Amino acid sequence: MLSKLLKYEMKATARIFLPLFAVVLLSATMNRLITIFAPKGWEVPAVISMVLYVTILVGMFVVTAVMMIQRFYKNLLSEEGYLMFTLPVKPWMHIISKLLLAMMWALVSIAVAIGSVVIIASAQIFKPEVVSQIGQVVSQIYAYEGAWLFTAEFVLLVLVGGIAKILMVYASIAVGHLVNNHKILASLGAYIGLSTISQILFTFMGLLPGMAGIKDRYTGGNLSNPMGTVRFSSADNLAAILPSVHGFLWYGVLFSALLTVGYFIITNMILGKKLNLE
Amino acid sequence: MSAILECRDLTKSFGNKSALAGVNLTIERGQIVGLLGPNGSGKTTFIKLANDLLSPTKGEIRIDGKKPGIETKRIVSYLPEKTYLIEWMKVHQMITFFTDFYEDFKADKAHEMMARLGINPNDRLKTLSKGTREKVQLILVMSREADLYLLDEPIGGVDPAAREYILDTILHNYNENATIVISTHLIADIEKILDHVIFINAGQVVLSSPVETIRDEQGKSVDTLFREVFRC
Repeated sequence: MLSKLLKYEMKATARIFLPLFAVVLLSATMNRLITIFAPKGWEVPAVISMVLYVTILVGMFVVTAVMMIQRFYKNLLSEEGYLMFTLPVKPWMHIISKLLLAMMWALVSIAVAIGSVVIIASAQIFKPEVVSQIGQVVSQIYAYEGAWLFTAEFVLLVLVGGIAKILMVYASIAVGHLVNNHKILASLGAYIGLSTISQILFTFMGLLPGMAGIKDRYTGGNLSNPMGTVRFSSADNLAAILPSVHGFLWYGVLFSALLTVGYFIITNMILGKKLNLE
Repeated sequence: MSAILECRDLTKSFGNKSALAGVNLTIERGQIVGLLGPNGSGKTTFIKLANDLLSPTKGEIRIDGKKPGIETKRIVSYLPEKTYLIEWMKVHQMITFFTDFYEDFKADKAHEMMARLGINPNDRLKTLSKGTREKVQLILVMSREADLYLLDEPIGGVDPAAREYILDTILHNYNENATIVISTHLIADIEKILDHVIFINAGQVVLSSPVETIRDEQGKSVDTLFREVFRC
């Protein structure tokens, strides 16, 4: 049943996202073509098409965020909710299907944005000397022991962090739904409330005995000036702080994972037991 | 075999306002039941509780002996008073959607009924009128071979001609072991198809009786009795 929900979530979102991505890439290509074919000194069209491209790019990220909210709210908590919640499907499956697709589109949006920049800058990037330089930098970075570990940690943090953020939005909407009037305002309030609680938890979790080691290495035990001990003046110092950076990345992953579980439980409980469709 | 729907002391409050207050009720299999009551009497709350769209404040409701959940959703076909269709879909996509999620859904039957009412399967739901959407919705709901149909105000929004057809559709599209619960306040229109009536007022069941008994013992039509019970 989860695969069927995913299929329909894909259909409902792809019809918006695919044309949007096409427009972004098309606009980037336009920019590229104008710089190739425009005569010297003919700059107005280039500027206009650049402004247009940036606007579209920003628009794409706005749509990604709006779609995340709208799919959850409209499909589950407005009139469509009568259909979705009478399907023989558990509430958690609805949450997972929305979450996976929202996450996927956010990542694809980032990939499309990078791709469009590459298109525009292709003349600069695809020169032999630039390509070889980029290659050198990359091989230098990955020659360093632990670079792969950093990459893995960073990717994990982005993924878990992203999931936690999306679930925080879902939990806020679900909490706002509990109120009879002014649901949107209540959702906004819930979002602010959950962010604040998360911030406080973040600080407190760092004070726990087991965590203190990880965090102190990063902050030097000084929370008000977290970067105080970090100086990139020499390679020695850089090597010295690396373990703390590992520690901090893992702290972030662990913390986001805990938030993910918490937000998921809140959302699932409200959709399962406290549903109150209009 | 247990009764298709049973509730004990079923209570639902919203804040300090109670929508259902200690309802005890048993609905047997194989009949058409009218759930009748004025606006705001608790009809919709009752049906939502049966569909797991609300959780009871107190007491319990059982469908085929089970609490509302995945198992009961498989055997209950529900028509809400809202139009819940997914607007960006076309009619035939909505039929596929039902086929995908409900094992007891008969797509052929749905297509046939759509054709009879002149609904084009390639029309997008967004472009259809409210009345047409309600027809699409009713066809989808009645194309399932469910054990229990819960129809909340199925004839409220459509014209009298379509009303005839819809009642006909309801009558001819269920097997004899299935139960249909129709909630409405338009009694005269559906009286002739009902086997059993439940009067509900201010969150309480006032009367639950076979229609025959009302006609034979009181010599009244359900409509007349309703007007007497709910005189303003």
